[in-house]
Amino acid sequence: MPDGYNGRILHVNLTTGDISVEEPDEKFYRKYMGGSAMGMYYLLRDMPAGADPLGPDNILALCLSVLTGAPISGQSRMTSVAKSPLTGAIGDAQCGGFFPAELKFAGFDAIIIRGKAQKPVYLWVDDGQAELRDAGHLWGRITGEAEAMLKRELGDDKIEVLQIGPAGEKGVRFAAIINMSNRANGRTGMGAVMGSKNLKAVAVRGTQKPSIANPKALNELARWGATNLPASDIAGLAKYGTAETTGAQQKAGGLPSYNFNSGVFDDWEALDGPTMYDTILRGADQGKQDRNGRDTCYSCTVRCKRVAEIKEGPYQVDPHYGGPEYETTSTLGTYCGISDLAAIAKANETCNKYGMDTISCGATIAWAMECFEEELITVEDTGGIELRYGNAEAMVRMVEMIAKREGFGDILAEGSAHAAAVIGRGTEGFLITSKNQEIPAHMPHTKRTLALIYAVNPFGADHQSHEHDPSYRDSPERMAQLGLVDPQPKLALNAEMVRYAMITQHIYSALDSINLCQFVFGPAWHLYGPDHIVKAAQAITGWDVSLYELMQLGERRLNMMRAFNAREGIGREADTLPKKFFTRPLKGGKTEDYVLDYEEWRQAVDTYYAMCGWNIETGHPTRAKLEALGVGWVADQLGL
Amino acid sequence: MQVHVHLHGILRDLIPPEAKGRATLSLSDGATVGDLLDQLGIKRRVVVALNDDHEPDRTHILRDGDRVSIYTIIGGG
Repeated sequence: MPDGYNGRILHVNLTTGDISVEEPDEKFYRKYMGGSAMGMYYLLRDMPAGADPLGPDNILALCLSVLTGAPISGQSRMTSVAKSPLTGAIGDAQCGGFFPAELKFAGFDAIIIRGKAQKPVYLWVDDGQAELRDAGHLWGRITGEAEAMLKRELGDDKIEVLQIGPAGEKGVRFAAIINMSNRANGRTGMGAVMGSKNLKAVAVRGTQKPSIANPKALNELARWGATNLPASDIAGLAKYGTAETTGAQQKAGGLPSYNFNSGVFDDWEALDGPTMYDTILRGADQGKQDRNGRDTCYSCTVRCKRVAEIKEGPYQVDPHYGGPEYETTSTLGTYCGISDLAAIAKANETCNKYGMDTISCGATIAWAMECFEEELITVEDTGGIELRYGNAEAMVRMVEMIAKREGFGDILAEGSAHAAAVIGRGTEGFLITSKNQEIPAHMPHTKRTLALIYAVNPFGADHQSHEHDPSYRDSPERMAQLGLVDPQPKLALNAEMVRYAMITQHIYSALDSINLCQFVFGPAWHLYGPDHIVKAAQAITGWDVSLYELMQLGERRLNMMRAFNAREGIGREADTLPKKFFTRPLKGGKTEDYVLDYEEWRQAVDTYYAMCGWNIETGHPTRAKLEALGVGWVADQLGL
Repeated sequence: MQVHVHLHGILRDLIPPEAKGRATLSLSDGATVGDLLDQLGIKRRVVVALNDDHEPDRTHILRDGDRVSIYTIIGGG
C-alpha cells in the first residue's frame, strides 16, 4: 500500500454504465501526482481531437493528488478538467471543501467520467464501491435541496456531495461544479460538461484514511503552520476573507471597476473584508462571527471561507450557501458599479444555489451594463430591465435569469464573448475576455505580468496561475529559493519579469497538480513557502521529492494543456487580451490614463514562448520540450 | 506632531475595534515612517501610502498633519 494515495482510479462510462477500477503503478503517480497533470494524461490519451465539449466524447476528470486528505492545512483540493464549453480550449478548475478528502478516504485518487447517461443519474461512491443511481428526482433541484435529499436518501449526514445545479443542467457555459452547496470548481464551465453528461451528482462516503510516510515530520510542519499563522501575511485573509485585499487594490488603482474602465471605486469600503466581517457574517450581530461566520476545508486551520447571513431587508441570504470572495464582491460589485453588499451576497447565493462561476457571471453582466450605457443593448433586449451601472436590483435579477436561462439571461448564459457574437452591434469592443473567458479582478495595468499570463494561460484568463508582480520585491527570501534575485522596477514587463512570470507559473501549476491551496502554500506571501511544499510532499508520500521535480511537474502540466489546445487548432492567435486594455485609458485614481503598450506586450509573449521552448510562430510546444518533460507520447499525438 | 492613520485589513486590530482602523497619533518631531510602524507594533510586511499617493520608505520623515494609510500585502485571491 503506497503512502499518501490509494493507487486506484475510478473509471465511469455513463453511456454503457460500466464502472471499473484502474491500479496504475507508482511511476504513473510520481510523474503526474494528481490534479490537472493527472487529468491531462487521460484527456490527451483518450479524447478524440475536435470533441464537442457538451457531447459524450468529452472526458471529465475529477482528480485529487498524492497529498489529498493528509492532516495538514490546505490539502483538501480537487481539480476538474475537461474540454471547456466556454473557451473551446482545455478547461480547468479547482475546489476546496471536504469532498476531496472524503473521496480519498473512500479509496480513490480520481474519477474519470466518459460518455453520457440516457437519463439523469448520480454516482454513489461508498468506501471502495461505486454505483450509478437514478437522479430523476434530483434534476432541477437547487444545490441545497439536492444535497439534503441525497444525505437523507443515503442515510448518512456525513456524506459529501459534489453536484451541478440547474445552471449546469441547462448548459450555462460558465456553470460550476459545487460541493457543500458553497464551494466551487468555478471556472471554464465544468458544470456544463457534467450536466451535458446527465450526471447530477457524485455522493461520497469514506472511512479509510491513507497512510502517511512520516507522520512526525508532517505533524511538525502542521504545528509550525498553526503557530506562525497569526503573524503571517495570510492572517488578514484568514480573519477578514479574501476581500481583505480590497483596500490595497483601491490604493494601487487596481480595483477593476465599471467593466475595467477604472481601477478605483469610490464606495470600495462598502465591499471591504472588514466591512463584510462587521455586517453580514453570521454572528456579527452578537460579535460571534469568528466562531459562526467563518468556515473551513478539511483539516485546515486558516478558516478563510465566509458564511453570510442576512435575515431582513430585500436581500435575505441563507448561510448554507456561504459568502462572497473578493472576486465576487468585485465582479458582481465594482465591475458593475455596485456597492450594495447585501445585493452582492444575494447574487452570490444564487450562483451557489444554481451552480455558476461568480467571476464569469458578474463580468458578463458588467459587459452587458457597459453595452447598455453605450445604447448598444436596450430595454428591448433586456425585457424592460434598466441594466445600468449601479443598478443592484437589475444585477440580482439578471443573475437569476442567467441561471434559469430566462429572457435576456438566456443570451448572457452563453458568456459575454458568445453573447457579443450573437448580439453584434459593436458589443464585442467592450469585452474583457481572453480565450472567451472573462478576466478576473486583478488588473494588468498595475501588475504587468498579468498581461502576459492572462493571455498565454491555456485555460483562459486566470489570476491564480502565477505570482503577481509585487511579490518579486516583497518576498525576497522565498523568491531566492526559485532563483529569482533580481526584482525589477514597478510596471516593467521586460525579460526578467517574463522569467519571473514563467517560473512562478510553473510552481503555481505544480500546486494545481498536487492540489495544494494557493493561499496556504505558494512562493511568496503564503503561510508555507517552496521549501515547505517539498517537505510536505516528502512527509506524506515518503518520496525524496525535490523542488526541481515539482517545478518540472508544473511545467509538464502546462505543456500538456498547451498540447491539448494545439490539437484543437488553438495556439498563438488565441493568446490575446481585450482590445480596450491597449486602447482605452483608465479613468481615476492612481492609474488615471494607464493603458498597456501593445508592442511591449507582444514582445513579452515572444520572449515567453522562447523561454518555454515553444514554437514562437504557433505558440505550440515542441517535440524536444515535450520529450524533455518526459511526455514524448504527447508529441506523437500532435504528429510532431 | 500628530499624524492621521488609517489601518486597513487586519491591521485595524492593532487599535480598539470601535475606531474601525482610524486614529490620530502623537509622534515626536522628526519621527519617521519606521518609527510610526514601531509605535503601532507593526512587524509584518506592509504597504504605506502617505497623503493618499506617495509610497515612502521607512526612513521618510513625517510631518504634522500627514495622513498615513497602511495596508497588508497579498497577491491573488
